[in-house]
Amino acid sequence: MSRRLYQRQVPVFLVSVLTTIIVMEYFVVRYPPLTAVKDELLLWGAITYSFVMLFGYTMLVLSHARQVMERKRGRSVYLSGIKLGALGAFLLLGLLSPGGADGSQYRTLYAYIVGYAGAGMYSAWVHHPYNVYRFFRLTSIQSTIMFLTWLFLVFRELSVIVAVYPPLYDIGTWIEAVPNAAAQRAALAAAGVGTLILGVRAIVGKEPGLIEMEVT
Amino acid sequence: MSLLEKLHITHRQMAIILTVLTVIPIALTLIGRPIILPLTIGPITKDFYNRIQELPEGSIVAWANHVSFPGYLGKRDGYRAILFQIFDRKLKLIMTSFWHDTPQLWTALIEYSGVEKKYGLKEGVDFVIFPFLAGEESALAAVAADFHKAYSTDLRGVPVKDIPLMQNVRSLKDVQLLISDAGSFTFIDMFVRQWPAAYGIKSINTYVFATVAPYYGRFVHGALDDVRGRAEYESLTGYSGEDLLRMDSRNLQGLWVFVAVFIGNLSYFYARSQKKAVPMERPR
Repeated sequence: MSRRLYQRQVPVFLVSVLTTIIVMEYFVVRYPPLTAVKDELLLWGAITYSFVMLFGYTMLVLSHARQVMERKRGRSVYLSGIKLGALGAFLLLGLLSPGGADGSQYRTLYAYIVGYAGAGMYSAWVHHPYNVYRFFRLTSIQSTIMFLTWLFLVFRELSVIVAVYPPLYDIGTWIEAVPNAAAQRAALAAAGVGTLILGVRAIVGKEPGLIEMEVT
Repeated sequence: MSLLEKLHITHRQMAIILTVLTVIPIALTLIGRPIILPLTIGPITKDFYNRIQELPEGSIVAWANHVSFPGYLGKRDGYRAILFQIFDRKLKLIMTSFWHDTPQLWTALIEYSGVEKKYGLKEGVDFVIFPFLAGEESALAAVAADFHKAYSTDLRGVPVKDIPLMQNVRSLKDVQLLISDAGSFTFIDMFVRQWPAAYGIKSINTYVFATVAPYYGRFVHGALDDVRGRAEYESLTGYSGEDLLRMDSRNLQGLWVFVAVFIGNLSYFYARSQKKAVPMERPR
């Protein structure tokens, strides 16, 4: 059996069949036996995803373990060490604390450590006012349009400004509901058309795709 | 020489000044003197409120959440107000998790809001928390098609078939209102495709209005637009929280931002009028 068969042709065939069933059921046919097949496939999908996540976590741990074992002691070695240490500590807490990972002790520690470390990370955004000083300069037509869009959205977000001049609320909402929605729909349509073109190119053998490139 | 250089202010000093100014309302709140600035309640927040309010007693609400625990800390008072309105209306709530630590969020929210004590609720009867299910869009579709197949147990480990609330709920066809919140911009598209669009049920959203604007009025019928939306909602329901205080910070921060933009442009045009090279920093 050639590598091409099991590394490319079998996976592509499976994905094509599964996608066809799911897409047909969603857009075209509401036929109960087909719906039952789709529901079962989605369930398999959820189970497969869990294994994919497990695989991802395992690779993450292995990658950091490799980093820690590097001879050259750099900043990344210590960061990987901290990551693995935190993982080990939470694993032990989950296994040994009363009630396990669902116990109140684990939940409290998780809330206060992960929650507040994350909040600290978000607080890095506090420098954003300074970024606007650097980057919101009216140097071109594009930057001026971007600035004006931003300005009216920010007007809407600031209740004190809306209280002074209420129509600014509607102007901001209009920008989000009309030009923003139109741009998002256009992007989505472009992505959809692009995907179709890629699919057709793959069918006629003109698009190698990732799997083909990785076949060794 | 730029304007800042003439004033002997470095970029680092400018950044520090703006940061300190932004923190002022937080400091005032901490010393018990919050600034309460005016707040008007917009139509999308009223829509959100009305969609819950118009449901008959005993209706089922399903909430798809993709928010991480740190993200929840900035939203918890808005979430608490939503729980209060849901249980004031005597509705039932199914809480699903599509981010790996969202179950932690749900348990923390139930504890923080104190709804079990306030309304005498019982887990499994009035609300149920389901564990994390990997797969994002395919997980959303699997849950929507059949809760009983997608999950074997709830978060406490009780088999789904033994949960009283789930006796009459098999799929989203048995649910009357959907709520979504996300930690990424792409989740809302998946949610709309697999929940409201696939089952024809109204949904409301607690993320950012810009993300649901393309679907508004068709699949999404109410939204809380981030901090401002949650503050409006807290004001509307009367269940005040941190978001009302956070609005003060945003208002003042907005003013400092306008000042920064004004100085930045003044500096730029001044340097240009002097026909000198304007230093432009590139985003990193």
